[in-house]
Amino acid sequence: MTFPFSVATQSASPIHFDVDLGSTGDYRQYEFVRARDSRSDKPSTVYYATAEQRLGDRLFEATAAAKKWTAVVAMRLHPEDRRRIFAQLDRLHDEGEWHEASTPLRLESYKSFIRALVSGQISGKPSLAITANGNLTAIWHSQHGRLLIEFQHGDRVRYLVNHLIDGSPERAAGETSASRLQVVLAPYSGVDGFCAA
Amino acid sequence: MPRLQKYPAPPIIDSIVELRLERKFDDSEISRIVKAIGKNYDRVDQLNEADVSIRVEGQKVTPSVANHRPVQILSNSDQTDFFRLERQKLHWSRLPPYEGWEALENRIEIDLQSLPKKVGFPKLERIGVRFLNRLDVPLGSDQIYRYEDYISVHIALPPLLNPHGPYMWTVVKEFPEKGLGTKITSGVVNQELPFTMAILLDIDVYTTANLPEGRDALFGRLNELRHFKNEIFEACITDKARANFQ
Repeated sequence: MTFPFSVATQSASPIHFDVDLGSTGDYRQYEFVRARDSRSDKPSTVYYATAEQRLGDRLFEATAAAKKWTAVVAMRLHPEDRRRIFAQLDRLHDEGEWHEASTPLRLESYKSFIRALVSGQISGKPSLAITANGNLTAIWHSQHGRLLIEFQHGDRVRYLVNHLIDGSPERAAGETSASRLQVVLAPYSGVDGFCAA
Repeated sequence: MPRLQKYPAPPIIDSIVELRLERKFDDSEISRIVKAIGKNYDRVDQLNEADVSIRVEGQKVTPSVANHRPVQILSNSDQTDFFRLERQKLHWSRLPPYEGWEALENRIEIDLQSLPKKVGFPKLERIGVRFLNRLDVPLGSDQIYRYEDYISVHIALPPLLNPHGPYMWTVVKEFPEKGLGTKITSGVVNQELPFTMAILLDIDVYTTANLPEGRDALFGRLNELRHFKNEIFEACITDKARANFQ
């Protein structure tokens, strides 16, 4: 088990290291290895971790990271939204219901969702789901259709709309940035609680 | 009835109270404290932190691990309330949404009341109140983030360097007449909201003088530190910033 980290120096470019904890992951038996081909300039923290992390711990870490990050925008998030989202995150990561092949929530995807919410790009009370690769998906149901948005890293989104327009089904799908959602979903806005205002 | 907060959307991103102790807890005391205070929280995590030192002499680089520290972190299920126990430190923090000083004070009081009798109220070496605030400065119509309209402490720069990118400053000042010290740091941090620039205003107020020897006296002293912290905060922001917290 190795952990890369870098040290900035005053006189030269950063020095890159790996801390090798060996196969046991015992932090008391570390060894420093000078990394020869490190591409990262970012310092990282060295953690002690057991080699095999329990499923419950992995699920807790995913929800805990999301909840902790929510704190940075909590002052802009309605308390009721926050409570509802946290309850959904807990349900989505329920160890008893968890399928081993699934991936816990990716924090970067969750950030894109929350940022879209606090900046008013989306609203309402969507159901939440997690894709196989850990991306958060928000789903709005209405009497006349359904809107699904998958939130990806860096405020990118993929959307899928199924909607009845004058009694005929209409489908639209696309990929864009969260800040463009209101524009691309404008034809479906204001209909039965869909997200775009 | 809870007192209304001054600002409906306070910019606080972390509120911390720290007690540094005169002596170190031994392993059995740490176990007892975790068992007793753990009942007030949903989760207990036991970690080990290590200080890594790197000595660079010319081409010779010698890394080593200087210290290992056992750290116990107790937290609630929402991951907003934390109690961190180190050998010589008790540390409480509250992440947003901030529910006011009284709520934080109340939690500290409950935890201190839960301390095992054998441990008692520990002798203190330093107490501190530290609040980290993030001011979200909106992008101006001229595509410039005018953070100086939100924070009243400015670095006077020659025109050549204006407008500029990230900045960072730290001010340290002792107030002997109050028996307090403060360290204030500000700088540009990661943007969290779209079309804003995030400015950190980190205010740490501490004292090593007239340290309380019991719980009641502790809260009186913590309140003094907190009021002084608020005074500094108000002195460092502008009305435009205040309007942003509504």
